[in-house]
Amino acid sequence: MYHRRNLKTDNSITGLLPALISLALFIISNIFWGFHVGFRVLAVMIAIYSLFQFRAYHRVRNLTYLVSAIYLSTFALFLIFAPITKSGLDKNNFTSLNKFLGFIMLSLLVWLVYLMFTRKVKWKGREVFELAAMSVKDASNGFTERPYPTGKINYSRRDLFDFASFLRYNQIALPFYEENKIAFVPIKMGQEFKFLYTNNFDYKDSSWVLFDYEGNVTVHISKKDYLDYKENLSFDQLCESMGNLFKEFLELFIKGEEVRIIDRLDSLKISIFN
Amino acid sequence: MNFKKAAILGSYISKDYAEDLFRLLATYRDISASEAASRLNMHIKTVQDFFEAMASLDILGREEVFEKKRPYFRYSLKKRRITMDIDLDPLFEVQSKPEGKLSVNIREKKNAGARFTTARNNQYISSVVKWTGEGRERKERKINLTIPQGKFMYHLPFPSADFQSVSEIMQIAEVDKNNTSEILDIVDVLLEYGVIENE
Repeated sequence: MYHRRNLKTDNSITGLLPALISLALFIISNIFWGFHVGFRVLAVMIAIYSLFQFRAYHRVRNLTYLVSAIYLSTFALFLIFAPITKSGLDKNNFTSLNKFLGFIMLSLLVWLVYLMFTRKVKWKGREVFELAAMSVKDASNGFTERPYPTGKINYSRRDLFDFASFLRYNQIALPFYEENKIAFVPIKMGQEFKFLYTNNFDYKDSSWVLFDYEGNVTVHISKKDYLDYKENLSFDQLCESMGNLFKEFLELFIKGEEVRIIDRLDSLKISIFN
Repeated sequence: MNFKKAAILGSYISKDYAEDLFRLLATYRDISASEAASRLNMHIKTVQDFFEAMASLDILGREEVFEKKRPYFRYSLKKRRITMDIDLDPLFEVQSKPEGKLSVNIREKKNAGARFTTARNNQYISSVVKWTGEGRERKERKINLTIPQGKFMYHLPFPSADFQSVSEIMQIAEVDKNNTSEILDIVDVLLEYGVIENE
């Protein structure tokens, strides 16, 4: 089924920056100091990225980040212990350790590719915004910074906490826990870094859907996310729709039909890279 | 006494020389501003302004006299007691007859350029900031809202939504009717600043 896209195309290269930086440093080091230094520089860079992935895993508690972090750590160790000659890696002189690390690394890479193509790696904020826009018929603009109260529903605190873990684990929205409420921030692919790596990140300027412990649901859509739509959608309808979408997700989750949530998001078939 | 007269009286009576001037007026049958100024070692303009203000409030009597072709005024005390009695009843008129204003249909104005701060519990707006003027004259006007006003603003229809009457919004926001006057006040202010619009 074809869905008309409401969001602009994402041409951002933010997600590729770490790889591009590493490649550039690797090439520069090779030119000036040869392969021996080049591979070690690459190893240090990858080790740093693995630390970031461990940090992300600590925040999201998602298998993808753990696999990615271990893969990068193994990759870094492989490069550190690999025999290197003036012409590059000396494959003929690999030790048992090198072979073991290489085997682990390739296995994890295969696992990661599998996770990527089954959309487990993807942050699904883009899908959330697309779904929210689907039921908006008018294009009358009307953006405001004010949050939009979308009514009240019944749920227990336990349900809400479990729902938060579900959305976080499946990279649909990142929960921010406060004294008597939880705010869910849908994160688009490539925009996750500031949320994962900033200490005490203030989500208030982002788009969020907030559930308090009394059942009130409130929506805020940031100007940046609103302008990411191709048209000036009617803002109150968009907020209402976003609130209804999350309420529906929560109801499905409480009924034990969380797979339907994933199905709805995946049915949009948005590229795994954005 | 209306607010304007009370403000004049309050302003002059609070001067540290007010008692000395009244003592002088009580001592003399009548006195000119220059005589009083020289007696108290004050500037004549200061005394003149004081006497004129008291005369405008009918506390002093004023008689024009001619001496060497140049007229001047002599002032005398007309009262032995000054009372400040301000009627606040007119200010309650809006509260006693709010029906008309409650039925006004409003919503947030499109591209109003206002910034809203949400309270910590996210259930009401705590302040509205609006920039006014242009260039060097540009100024920030911040209005801190009471909780009922904040709840009202929280439920104000969005710029793209249908208009709603003030009373409907109050009902949705669960604002008590006793707070009607402060709600109407903030509606007036925000209409004036172009943050909200009426139908």
